[in-house]
Amino acid sequence: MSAGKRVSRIAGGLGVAVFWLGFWQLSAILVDSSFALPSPLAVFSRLSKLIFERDFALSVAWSVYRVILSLFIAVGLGVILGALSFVSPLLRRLISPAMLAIRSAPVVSFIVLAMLWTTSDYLPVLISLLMCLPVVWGNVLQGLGAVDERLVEMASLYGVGRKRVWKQLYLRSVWPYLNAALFTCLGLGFKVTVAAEVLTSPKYAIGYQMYVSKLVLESEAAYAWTVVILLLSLLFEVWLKYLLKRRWKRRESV
Amino acid sequence: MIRMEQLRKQKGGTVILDGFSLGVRSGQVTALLGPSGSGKTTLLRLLAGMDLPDQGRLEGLPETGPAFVFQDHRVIPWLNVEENVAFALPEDWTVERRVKAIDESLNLTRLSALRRRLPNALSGGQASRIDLARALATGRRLMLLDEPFKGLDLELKLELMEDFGLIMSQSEVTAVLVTHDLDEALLTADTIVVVSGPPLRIVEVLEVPLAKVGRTMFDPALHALRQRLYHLLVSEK
Repeated sequence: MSAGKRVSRIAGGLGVAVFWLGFWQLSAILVDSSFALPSPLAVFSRLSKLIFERDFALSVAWSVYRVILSLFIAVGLGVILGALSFVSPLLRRLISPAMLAIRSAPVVSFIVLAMLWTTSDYLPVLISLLMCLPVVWGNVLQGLGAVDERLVEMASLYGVGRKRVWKQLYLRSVWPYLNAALFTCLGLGFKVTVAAEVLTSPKYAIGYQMYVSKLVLESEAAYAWTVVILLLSLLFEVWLKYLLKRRWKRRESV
Repeated sequence: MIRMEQLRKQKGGTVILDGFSLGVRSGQVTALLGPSGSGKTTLLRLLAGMDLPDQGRLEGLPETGPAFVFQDHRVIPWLNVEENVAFALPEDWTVERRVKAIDESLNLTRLSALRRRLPNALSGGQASRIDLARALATGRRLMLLDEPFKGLDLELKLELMEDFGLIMSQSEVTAVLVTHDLDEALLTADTIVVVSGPPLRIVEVLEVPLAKVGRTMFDPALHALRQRLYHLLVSEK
């Protein structure tokens, strides 16, 4: 990207940010209740103090750890189950209703049901994993189904080994679908993990901090924590985009 | 010699082959010339082992299996030219053998300078040569070609046919080429089997008494053969 283009892109992004901050400020003036809707200035001022508080780093680190852990397990399990379901129609028929049920049921049902079983600090990981698994599984299955059968036929005619066929044809076909699943799950992971943390209240968690803010009627802190979640989500999305782009570029230059 | 004996194949209630027999001479190019839908591609798929005959026998097929040049060129879009060729090579080949096979096949198909390019950075004609290069690199003794020049513009088609003739004259590969185009058959084959169907049947077998290299349609012998083939195909309609 040229320097001129980059500057205009950054200026555009800043313009959008200024527009929404202005909208927020205007809404705060109209609502005229610092409890219901504090002004952006008040929230960012609270945030600037919040980041120096003792539990901030620990809470952020634990929440991020839970999101990443659930994402890793969901991707690993989703890829394995997706691949197995692709080769075994029986397994696909068995798994499909479970995935549909997980996808359709409200997140809060799972949190409440899971709380009947355990109150572990890792419960948000389980909930996030459950929410992400059907997305990964479904996308992997869809990607494998989208493989060009003509290429598979060509490979079979030349007796190309299964490993090479999976690596060069199936994996490449799945890759865009897996990418899409990763981005969906990253956003979903943050949302679901924090929601579960609010209800299960582990000691170090963004969700727990939000719950406490609500409990002590400190709405500026609750908004500040929401900003933290948004920033973290954005940061990880940009990082993931960068990682995937770098991997792609490396592949193209081989 | 490859022999097809009393082949029968039925697909979805249609009998495509019914007692079809033909012999194909080794080291030669045999063109199966006939209208679309007559059953030529089905016969080619039986020779490739992609389908099995309901009845009949196939004899003299090489143990390694055939190489196949598809009508809809089977090029892997995310692999560059040499990776596309390497994809089909046996995994137990040594690196030296693989490199040699790739180099030779890319030279023959005039793709050497483009070996690192992805298929989408190639012209239609260049991309369609990848299939041929892959087939040649495997070193298989039988090559099956299903309308390999279909959909190409005339200039490109003539260029590719010339290349194909040259490659075939330099190798000992047996080739069976399926086409519905008179000129493709005349410019590339040693033997032309005029067929009709379904069920597929032989109308006539003609020999082309010319070397494969340097053939042109202006040659009086080819011109006469063309007239004959044209009348045969029209009378079959």
